[in-house]
Amino acid sequence: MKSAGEITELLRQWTVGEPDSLDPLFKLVYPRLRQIASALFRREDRSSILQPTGVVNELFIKLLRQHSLQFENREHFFSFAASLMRRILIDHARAEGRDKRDGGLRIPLTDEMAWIATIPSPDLLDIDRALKELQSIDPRKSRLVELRFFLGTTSEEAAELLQTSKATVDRELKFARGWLSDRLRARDPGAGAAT
Amino acid sequence: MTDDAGPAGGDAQRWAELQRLFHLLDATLPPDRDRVLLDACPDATLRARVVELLLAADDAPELAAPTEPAPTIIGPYRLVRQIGAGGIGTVYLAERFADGAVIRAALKLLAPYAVDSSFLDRFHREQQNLAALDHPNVTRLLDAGWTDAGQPYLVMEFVDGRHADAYCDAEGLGVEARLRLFLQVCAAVADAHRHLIVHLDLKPSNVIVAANGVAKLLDFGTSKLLQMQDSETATVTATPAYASPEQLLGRPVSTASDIYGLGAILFALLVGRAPFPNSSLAGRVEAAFREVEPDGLVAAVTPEAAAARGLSESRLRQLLRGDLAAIVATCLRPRPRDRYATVEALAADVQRYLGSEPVLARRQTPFYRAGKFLRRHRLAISLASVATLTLASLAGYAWLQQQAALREGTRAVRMQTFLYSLFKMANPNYTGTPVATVPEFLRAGMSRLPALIHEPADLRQAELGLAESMYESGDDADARAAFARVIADADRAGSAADKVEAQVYAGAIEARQGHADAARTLLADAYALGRSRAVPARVRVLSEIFYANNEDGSGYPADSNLALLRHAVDESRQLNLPASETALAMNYLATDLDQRGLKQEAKAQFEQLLAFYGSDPLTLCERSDIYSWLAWIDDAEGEIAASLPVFRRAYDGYVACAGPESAGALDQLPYWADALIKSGRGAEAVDMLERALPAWRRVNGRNPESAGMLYFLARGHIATGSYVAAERYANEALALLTGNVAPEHRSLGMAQLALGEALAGEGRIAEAREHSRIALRALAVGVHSAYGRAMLAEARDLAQRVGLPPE
Repeated sequence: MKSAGEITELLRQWTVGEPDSLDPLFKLVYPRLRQIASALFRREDRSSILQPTGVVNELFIKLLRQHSLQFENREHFFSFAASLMRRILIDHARAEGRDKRDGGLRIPLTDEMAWIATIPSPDLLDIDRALKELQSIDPRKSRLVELRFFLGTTSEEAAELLQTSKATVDRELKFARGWLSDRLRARDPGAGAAT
Repeated sequence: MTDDAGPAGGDAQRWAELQRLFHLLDATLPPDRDRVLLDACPDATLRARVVELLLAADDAPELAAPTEPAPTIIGPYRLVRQIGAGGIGTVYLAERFADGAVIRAALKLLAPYAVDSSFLDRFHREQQNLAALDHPNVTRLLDAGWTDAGQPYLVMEFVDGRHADAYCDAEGLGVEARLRLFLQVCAAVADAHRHLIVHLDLKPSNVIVAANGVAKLLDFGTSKLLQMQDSETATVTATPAYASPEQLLGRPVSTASDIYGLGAILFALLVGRAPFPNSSLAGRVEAAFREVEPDGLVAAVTPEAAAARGLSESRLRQLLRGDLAAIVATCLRPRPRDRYATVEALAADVQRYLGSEPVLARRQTPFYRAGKFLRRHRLAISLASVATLTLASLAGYAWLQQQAALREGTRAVRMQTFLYSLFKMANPNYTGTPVATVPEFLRAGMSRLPALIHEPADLRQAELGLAESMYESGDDADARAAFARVIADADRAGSAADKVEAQVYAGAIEARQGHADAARTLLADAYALGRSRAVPARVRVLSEIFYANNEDGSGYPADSNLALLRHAVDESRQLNLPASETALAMNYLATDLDQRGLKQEAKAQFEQLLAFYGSDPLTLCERSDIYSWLAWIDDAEGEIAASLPVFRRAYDGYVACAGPESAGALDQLPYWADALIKSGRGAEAVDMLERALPAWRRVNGRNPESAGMLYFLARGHIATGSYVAAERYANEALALLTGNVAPEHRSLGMAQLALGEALAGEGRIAEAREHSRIALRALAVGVHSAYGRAMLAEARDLAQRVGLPPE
C-alpha cells in the first residue's frame, strides 16, 4: 500500500483541477477497497446481495485516515468517494455476472443506496454505460447520482455539498432517474453486458 | 429514443429546456399537463421526449432489497405477526409450545449478510456471558439458529409495549417523566457494564416500554453476534443515526460507546429526533472523523416536540437550556474520554437535575474545551475551579508517571503481574475488541485484589494505586469508596502514611464534587497528620499542596498557604521526589501566584516547570498549557512584544500534540491576535483569524464560550479600519452570546462595545451611541480586574466620541 501522503497529494492535485491525477488515485486506493467488497460479498455464499454500507464505511475510514487531508474541499472529497463506490459496485457486478450463465446482476438505484443483487433478471441494467452518457451531457447530474445512490448521502447532504437546496437536489434527481430509466429501457436487454 | 446530446451546437440549450419542461410538468397536476406543456413548448419532439422522461421517472420502481416471503414456522417457533423491521432484520411475535404451555417470544429474522458462519458458536459463548445479566430492565436472549433457507435468526424475550419515543409521545409525558424513564435504561446499561458487557446499539427503538411503564432494553449481546470475524471489514452494525464516533470509525469500542448511545437516546426522548438527523453513513463517518458535535439540545427544539411534551416551545427550550443540555452534550462528546466516565455518573447527574441539585456536567463546562474567553473575563474567577482545572490537566501526565513508577522495584513487579491478570480477565477471548474502559479495568481489578495480594501493606498500596487511577479517570464514586476503605484499613494497621495519602485524595474528590466543607475537613486532617515523622516526604508534600491549594481555592486565602506551597516545591526538588508529585507542586504554586497577582513570580515558577518537563514529547500538551499561561502573564503585564513569540510556541505546541483543530490551538488564536492588535499588527491578526475561521466554525461555531474568536476578529477589523467587516463579526458574536450567557455577562458588554466602535467608524453615530450606552452600562458593573478597568475606559472613550452624555 502506498503512503498516505501520496494519496493526499493526488487528491489535492485533483481538487485543484488536474484531472489526470484521478486515475493514479484510483489505482492507489481501489485494489484494497475492491478486496473489502469481495470479502463482504463472499461471506459463505449465503448472501445474494452486496450491501455497500460496509464498503462505504471502510472507504471513508481509509480515505479520512490520511491525516493531513484537510476538508477545504468537501465536495471533491465526497464526489471522489462516490465515484470510487460506483466503480467498485459496477466492477463487482461485472465480475459476478461473468460467473453466472443464466440471468445476471441488477444494480437497482434505490433512495437509500445502490446495491447489487444476484437475481436472475432479463433486464440486466447497464447502469454504468448510461451514467457515462449522462456524465458527458451533464456532469453535475451524474455526480449527484453517484453521491446519492452510490455513496448513499442524503438529499440534505448532497444539497450542502453542491451548495444548493434540498428541493433542487430532489428535482434534479428525479429528472436524472427518469432519464436513466428511459435510457436503460431503450436498450436491447441482451446487449447489457457490453461497455 | 431521442438523442439528448448529439454533436450539434444547440444541445446545451435543448438539455436545459428539457429539464425546465420536465420540472414544470412534474409540478403540474396530470389533468392540466397537456395544456400546460402545449403552452410552454412549441416543439412536438421535445414535448414527446419530456412526457417520455416523466413517465420513466414515475415508473422507475422504488426498489427494496428483495425479501423472501417469511416462513411461518421457524424451528420450534410459529410466527404470529410482524412487530418491527430494522436495518438488519425483521422482528416477529413468535410462539412455541413447551410443556403444554404457549410461550411467547420475539424472533428476529436477520439479513443473511449480517452474520458470518461462526454466528452460532458465538451465540453459545455469548449466552454464557449474558447469563450473568439478570436485571428487570434487560430482556433475555433465548435462542438462535438458521432457518431452512439459510437465514439466521435470534429469539428474545417478548415484551408487549411500545418503543420508548413512541411511548413517551403517546402518553404525552413531560420532561421529568421522560427522564425517569431514561434512568431505568441507565440502570440496565450500568448493570451490564458491571458484568463487562457492552450493548453498542442503544437507540429508542431498542427500548420497549410496557403498559405499566417498565422499560426493557432489547438486543443485549446482539452486537457481538453481528460482528464480523473477518478483520478486513469494519462494518457498522449499529444504527448510524445513534452509533458512536468510535464505532463509525472502526476504533476500539468500550463502555464509553454506550454512554454515547445513552446520550443519543436522551436527546431523542427530549426533543424527538436523533442527534444527527438526515445523515448518511458516509456523512456520519466524516462528521465523526472531524469530531463534529451534534446540534445543541436547545437548538433542536421544534414546535411539534414541544406540543408532544405538553409545553410551549419557549418553555421546553427553557427547561432544556443549561443542565439538561450539558448532560446530553457530555454524553455526546466525540472523544470517549471526554464523556461521563461511567453510566452511574450520568445517572447521578440526571438524578441531581430531578432533585434540583447542581449538575456536574455543567460545573465542568469551563474546563471542557477551556473556554478561555469567558474564563479570562469572568468578574471574579473562582479559585476552586482553577484548582480543579489544574488537577485535570495533570491527570494524563500523572498517569504516565505512575506507569513508569510501576516499572521500578518489587512492588512494581507485583503490580505489573497483577495488571496483566487484570487485562486478561477483562478481555475474555470471546471478544476481539477491548471492551472495558480504564474505569472498568480498575473496578474489576479492585474487586480481585484481595485474592491476588495477601500482605496487608502491599494490598493497601495496590488499592491506593488503583484508586488514584480511578480518581484520575474521573470515576469519583468508586475512587471515593476505595479511599474510604484504605483509610479504615490504614487506621486499624496504624499506617499514618497510607491514611494520609488516601485522605488527601478523598478530600480532592469531595472538592471536585462540590462538597467544600467535607473537603476542607479531610484535607486539614490529612495535612496535620502528614507532619508526623512516620509519613514519608512524598506523601507529606501531597498533603501540603492539596491542603494549601484547596484553602486558597475555596475562599480561605492566606499567606501561610502560599508559604506552604513554596515549601512543598522546595522540598520535592531537594529530596528528588517522583516527577508527578514535583510537577504537581510546581503547578499549584505557579497558578496560586498568578491568582494572587504575583505575575513575575508565577512566570518564574512556570518557567521552572517547563525546564522540569524537559523535552519529553509526551508532555508537549502540558508544556503548551504552560506557554499559554506564560503568554497571558506577559500580556497582563503589558509586555506585549514579549508575549508574541510565547503565544506562537503555545499554538505550535498544541498543533503538534493535538492538531490544528484542537481546543488548545483554536483557543490560543484570539489571544494571540489580541496581542498582535495591541502591537499595531491588526492586519496580521485578522489574516490569521480568518484563516482559522472555517475550522473554528466547524469545531466551536455554536459554543458561546469561544465567541472570543468573533470578538477579536471585530477588534482586528476596527484596528485596520474595516468597519463594515467589524460590524458583521461583532453582530455575529452578539448573536452567539445572547441567550446563551447570563444577560449581565461581561462578554456581552464587550461585544456591544465592539459593535459601537464599528458603527462609529462607519459614521452611523446614532446607532453607535445606542450600543455604546448598552456597553457602558454592562461594563461598569463589578469592575475588579485590570482588564475590566481597561474595558470600561474604552467604553467611556467611545461614549465621549459619539456624544453620549456622561453617566
